[in-house]
Amino acid sequence: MQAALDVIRAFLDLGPNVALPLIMFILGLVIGMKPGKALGAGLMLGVAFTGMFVLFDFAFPTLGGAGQAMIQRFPGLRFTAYDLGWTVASVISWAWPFAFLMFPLQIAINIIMLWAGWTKCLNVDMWNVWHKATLGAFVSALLGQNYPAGVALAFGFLVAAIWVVLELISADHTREQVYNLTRIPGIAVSHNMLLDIIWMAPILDLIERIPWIHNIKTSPADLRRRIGIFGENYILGAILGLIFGLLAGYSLRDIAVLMIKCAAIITLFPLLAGLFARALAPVAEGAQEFMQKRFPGRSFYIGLDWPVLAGIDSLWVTGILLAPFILLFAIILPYNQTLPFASIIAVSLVATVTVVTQGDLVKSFILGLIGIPVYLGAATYFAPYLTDLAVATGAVNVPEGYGMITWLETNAAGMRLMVFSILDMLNGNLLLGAISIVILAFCGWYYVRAMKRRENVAAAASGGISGNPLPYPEAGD
Amino acid sequence: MPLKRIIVACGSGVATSNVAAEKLRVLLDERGVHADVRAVDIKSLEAEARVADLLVSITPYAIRDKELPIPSLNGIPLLTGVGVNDLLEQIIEMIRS
Repeated sequence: MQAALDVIRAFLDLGPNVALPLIMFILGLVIGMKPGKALGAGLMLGVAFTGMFVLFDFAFPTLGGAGQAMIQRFPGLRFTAYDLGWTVASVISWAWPFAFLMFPLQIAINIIMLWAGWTKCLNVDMWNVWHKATLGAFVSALLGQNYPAGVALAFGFLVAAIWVVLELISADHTREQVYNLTRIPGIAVSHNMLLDIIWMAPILDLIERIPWIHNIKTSPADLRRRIGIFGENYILGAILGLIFGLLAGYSLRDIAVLMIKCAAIITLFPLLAGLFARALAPVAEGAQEFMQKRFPGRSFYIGLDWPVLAGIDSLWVTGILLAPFILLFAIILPYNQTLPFASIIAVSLVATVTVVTQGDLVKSFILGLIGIPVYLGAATYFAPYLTDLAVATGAVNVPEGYGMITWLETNAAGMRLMVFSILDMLNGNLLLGAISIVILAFCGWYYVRAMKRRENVAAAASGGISGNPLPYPEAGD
Repeated sequence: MPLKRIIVACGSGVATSNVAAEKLRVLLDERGVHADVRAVDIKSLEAEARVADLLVSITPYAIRDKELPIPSLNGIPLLTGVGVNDLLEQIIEMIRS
C-alpha cells in the first residue's frame, strides 16, 4: 500500500505537464488506440498544458498589475480575483489527481439511470466531465478543513455523482424547450449550466407577470448583425484593456499596451484550450462509443454540450448587452472581489436564460441581470478554491502578491453556492446552509411543475420533439 | 487540386468544435480523403468562412449559416453518432466537386 502511494506521489511530483501526458498515453492504450496515436495525444496534451502555463505567466501579472493599480486609486474597489475564463479553470481541474475518474463515474451513473428508466438522456458530452472534477476537488477542500482526507474525498465524489444525476434530470426537463429553439431532433442539452433554471423558474414566472413585458418587439437577428462585432474576443479584450487602463490611471502609452495585451490574452487562451480538446477528443470518442454500444435501438435523447444553442441570435445579443452590467455590478456590489475579464460574455448564464425564456430577448436580459450578482458571488466564493487547486497541483504558477484566479462562468452558479453552503454545515456553519435548504426545497418543488408547463408550451409551438405536442398532459395551467 | 478547407464552429472554438473536427479528420482519413479540417469560433464565423470551402454546422437551424458565402451541411451527426455515414458521403461529394 505504502509502495503504491509512493509511486503515485512520485508520479504527481512530475508536475501536470508531464504526468497528464503519461496518463493520457496509458488511457489511450486502455481504450484501444494505436500506441503511436496514444503517444501523439499524450504529447498534444503536454503541449497544450505548457502553452497554457506560458500564457498564464504572461496574463496573470498583466491583469493583476492593472487590478492592483485600480485598488490603490479607488480604495472602494476590492478586485483581488481575476476572471481568466473557463478555459483556464478546466485546465486546472484536469490537474486534480482524481479528475480522470470522473469519466467512469459519469458513464456508470448514466447507464444505471437509463437502464432503470430514471432518465431518457444519454449524455455523450465527455468534455464537460471537468465540471465534476471541480466539484470533487472543491468539496474535498471544503471538508478537508475538519475531516480526514478520505472522508472529504468521498464527499467530493458524492457531490460529483449528484451533479451527474441532476444534469440528466435537467436535460429531461428542458429537451422540448431546446427542441423548439433548435429543431434538432433527438437531442437534449445535458450541460450543468441549465441547473440554475431551478432557481430561475419562479423568478421568470414573476417577470412574465409584468404587463408590458410581452409588448416589446425586438429583432435579435438584426441586432446581432449590428453589435455582433463586440462579441469577438480580440475586440472585447481591447475594450476591457482600455477600461482597466483608465480605471488604473495608466498613461496613454501604457493603456495602449494593456489593450493589446488584453486582446492577446483573451484570444489566445481559447486557442490553447482547443489543443487540449483535440488531445482529449479520442477519449471522449471512446467513452461515447462505449455508451452507445450499451443501448442499441433504445429510444433516448443524446445529451450534448451547449454550443448546439450557439446559432440563436438572442443568445449573443443578450451576452453583449449584459457585459457592461457585469462590469458595473462588479464595481458596486460590496461582496464582489472578481475583476470580470475572459468571461465578460457570460455564456453559461446567457445560454441558460435563452433556453428558459425561449429566446425572448427582453426576458433574457432581465433574468440575466438578476443572475449577474449570483455569478459574481460564485466567482468570488470559488476563487480561493481554484487558486489553491492550481497551487497544490502546480497546474499554473500563481505569483504572490497579485491575488487569486477565478472564472466568472462557474456554471449553475446559484446551485453551486447553495450546495456548498449546505455542505459547509458539516463545518459548523449552519445559517447559510439552512437558508439554502429552504430555498432549494421550494425551488425544486416549483421547478418540476414549472418545467412541465413550459415543456408543454414549447412542444405545442414546435409540434413536439417526438411528434407529441402535449408531453405532460397531467401538468395544469 | 488545392486542399479543401472544412470548418467546424462552436461557441468558443474550443471543445465541441475540436471534438467534432477531430472525429471528421479520423473519418475522412479512414476513407483516404484529404482535407484541412479546422475548429473555429462561431463568433468569428464570417471571417473564417472567407477562407474556407465548407461549413459543417452544429447549429443547422441558424439563418446566419445560410448567409455565408460557402455551403453548409448539418454536422449534428458528428456529435450524436446518428447518420454519420450519410453526412460523410455528402462531405466527400462536396470536396470532390
